[in-house]
Amino acid sequence: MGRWLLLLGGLLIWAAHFLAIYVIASLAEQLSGETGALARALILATGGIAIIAALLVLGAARRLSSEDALDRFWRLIARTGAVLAIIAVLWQSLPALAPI
Amino acid sequence: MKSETGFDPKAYERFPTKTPRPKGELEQLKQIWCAPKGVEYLTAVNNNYIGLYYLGGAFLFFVLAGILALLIRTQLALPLNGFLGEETYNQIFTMHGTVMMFLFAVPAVEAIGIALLPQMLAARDLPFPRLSAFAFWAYFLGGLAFFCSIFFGVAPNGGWFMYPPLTSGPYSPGINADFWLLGIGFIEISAIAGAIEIIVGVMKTRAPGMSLDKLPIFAWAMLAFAVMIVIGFPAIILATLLLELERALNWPFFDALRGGDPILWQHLFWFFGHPDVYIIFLPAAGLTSMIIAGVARTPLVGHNLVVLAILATAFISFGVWVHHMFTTGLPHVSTAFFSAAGMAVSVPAGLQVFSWIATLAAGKVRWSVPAYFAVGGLTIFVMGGLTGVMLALVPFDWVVHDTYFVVAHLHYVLIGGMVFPMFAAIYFWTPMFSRKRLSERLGRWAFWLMFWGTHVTFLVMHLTGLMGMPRRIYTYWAEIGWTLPNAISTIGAFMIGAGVLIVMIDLIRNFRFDTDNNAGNVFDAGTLEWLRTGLYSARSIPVVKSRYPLWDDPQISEDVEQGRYFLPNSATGERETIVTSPINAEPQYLQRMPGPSWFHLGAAAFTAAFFLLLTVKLYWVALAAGAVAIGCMWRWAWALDLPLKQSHADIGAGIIVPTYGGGKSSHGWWAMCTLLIVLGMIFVMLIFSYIFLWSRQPAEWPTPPSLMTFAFCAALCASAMLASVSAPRVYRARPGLAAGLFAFSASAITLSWLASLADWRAHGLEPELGAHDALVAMFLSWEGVFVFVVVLMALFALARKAAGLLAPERTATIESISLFTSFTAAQALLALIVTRIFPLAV
Repeated sequence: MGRWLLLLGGLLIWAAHFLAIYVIASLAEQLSGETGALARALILATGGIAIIAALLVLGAARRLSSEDALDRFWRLIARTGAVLAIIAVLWQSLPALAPI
Repeated sequence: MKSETGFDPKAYERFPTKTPRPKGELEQLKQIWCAPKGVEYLTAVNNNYIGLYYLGGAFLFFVLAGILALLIRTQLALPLNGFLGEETYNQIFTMHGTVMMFLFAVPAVEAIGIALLPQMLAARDLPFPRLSAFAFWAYFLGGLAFFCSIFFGVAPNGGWFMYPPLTSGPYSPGINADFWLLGIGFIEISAIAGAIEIIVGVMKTRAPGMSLDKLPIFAWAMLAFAVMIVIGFPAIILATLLLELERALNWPFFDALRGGDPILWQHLFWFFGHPDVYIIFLPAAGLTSMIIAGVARTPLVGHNLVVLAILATAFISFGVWVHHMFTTGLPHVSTAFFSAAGMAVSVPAGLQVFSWIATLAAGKVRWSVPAYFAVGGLTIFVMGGLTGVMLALVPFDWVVHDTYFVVAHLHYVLIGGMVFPMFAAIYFWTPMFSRKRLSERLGRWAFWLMFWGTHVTFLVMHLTGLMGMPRRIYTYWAEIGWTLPNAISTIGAFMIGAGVLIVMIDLIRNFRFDTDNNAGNVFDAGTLEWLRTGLYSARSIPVVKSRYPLWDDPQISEDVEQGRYFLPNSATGERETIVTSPINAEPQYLQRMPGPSWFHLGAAAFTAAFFLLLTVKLYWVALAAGAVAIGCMWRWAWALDLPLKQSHADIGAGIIVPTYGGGKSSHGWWAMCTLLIVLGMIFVMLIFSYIFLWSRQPAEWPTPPSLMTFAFCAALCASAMLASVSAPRVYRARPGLAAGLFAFSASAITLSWLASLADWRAHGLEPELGAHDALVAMFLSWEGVFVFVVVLMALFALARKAAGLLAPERTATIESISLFTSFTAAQALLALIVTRIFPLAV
């Protein structure tokens, strides 16, 4: 299970982040009729947490051996996926910075 | 390489073996995997036959839906045309979209998977051949009956995404919408059955040594495809259930006047619908990757990044469903998130495109028909992708929403992303199944007609959309200025039709099914499906040491054919394949495979009959058909997990493995877990629906009944879960006690359900009056179905005990029942919390 989590870690983080910001925005809309400053701060904080998690995946992937072909494959997918997740999380967080 | 299972990889060095194989071994293999005769073609389960049937069925529906498209284009060719009446037109465009999406696109890629994967993975067959056959027959028989509704004027007419309130009872009073809602039901079952087969097949039946880094791209794509079906299809299953219940029983899930919301349908539909585009595209992209590497005679450039692109597409595609709902008035910030995701999904798709271009540049391309179709498809797909990015921009989408611009975009994406790769695949892999390859001359004619036909039809259609023509109108005034672009589109559509007709002529002239004397590896491709095969797949199962074994080891074909690798014979005298570990593909055990049978066929036919009879409101006959379907499934399951003739077998070079697998390593465990994920996703979607409708009118949500019954029911569910989880543990010591534990679990779950039902009824539950009560009734009904299945399973376990078929060394049946029963108890507990605690908490 751990190996799979490492392989898909970045993408799972992106998915969790997306779900979280969707829920935050929807709840904010439900409670106050708009995505106000607090909701936007929460969205940005969620993005920060997601980026830290993706960095952890990057660190964990470094521990895989470079000797073995399967490990190299695993490391490449895990690391590139984590980098992709960081870019995607930053990209997805941008709407929270738009003027209210 | 670290071992995953304790298997010593040094054992691979024993292959290829040197000693000659005993005489008669190959003949025995041929006899065990013999071809069907006469009526046996109906009961066949071998992937070569089922794959071919499936492909034939999907192609038939493609042609039928294509004919409907030509009718649509003929009607629109001229202003105020009277070729089709408006109601007929509504039915025809609805059926065109529905048949293309549900009866062609998804089944076609599933068919290609079933046909190609066993050979590509060098397995004897996929692990559940009867499940594949069941999936095909349910789809084909039900699909044909569904299609025939158009000849009686009762075909669905609400558009392929069937938005309520248009499709709700008051606005669509006939049975047309029911045909869609129930007709799609068996297709969903079929797609999910196929997806389970593909997931377990790719994860558990690869050739030894084929670790995930050596897995062919097509297998990666099929794995992503199947997982996406497991996650995405439950949303449409629930949506169709809810709308059918609203129509049949007047439960107002989508009726805004009674607490429902039609937007809920759009959320559920597009949570399935947008990923469905990628469900269709990813396998086709996998095919393109394989074909381009084959025709360019060089490994795919950036293989690992293409794997990542496939995985990333699978993930991101689930964040794009609101892409279709920008005009529904959602909060702007939420819309912006989905807009960003809509643009992001083009990144992994673009990565694959660059990989294909680089591979073409790096290799020496032979410009054969598959190469033409692959490159033509790539071009068309890129154009469709660019307009997709335009549509991800919210203000632009507001302008062109529901116009022909969207129709042009989706056809560019689907034709370039799926149809052209499929035709490339037909021309590329036909030599694997046929004595003759298809004609290059006819193929090129077909390609150019289809390629230019696509542009003539759909390029101009962008303009038609920008000129303001809405989709789905059956005619228009000449003064509006839409005549010329519509006439051009119609000419293009007939060009595509002519191209498809040429392919059909080519198939009739040249395709002759034969696995033993096929045309062979005419493209000199490097992957395992091009080994010489029979109905048993490859003679022996090679040790895989690279991604392109046929290029990297020129001797491998000869060694495989001489039986110098794994399983050169039938080790147990039955149909069998090697089950391997999911990451490293280390041999774990030998799976005995089922042969032809009537029971899966009966189950499929009566499942389809059940849904279709419900549509025409023959409820008692439908129930009878359902009962027969269950009887067939019972008999089918009864023939599984039978006593073993031998506990271990030599699978080659003295490597001994068990002939039975239990626990988490077994293929049955994987299949049951996958099924439970499907069911769990439906339940998650139901919870989403509950919370969504609550969020629309929280003040209208009534107070639930007292917590006394909650505590009683929760205790029953918890004890049922405990008993069913314990059953496999006590089974090894006392097999009979496990059946007793299941009987207890079933009783506890049934009692909890009955108590909950009685409590809600006493509380005044009236599902017709409001969305809350309708949702609670839905929770209870959903749980009721599970109670029924759990009771059946407990009876099955008791019957097996009475027949002396429970033995401690065979655990698969008990483990499967345990998983399902525990899941049912956990789900019932969660339903209690959602319907009774959530309203109090908020």
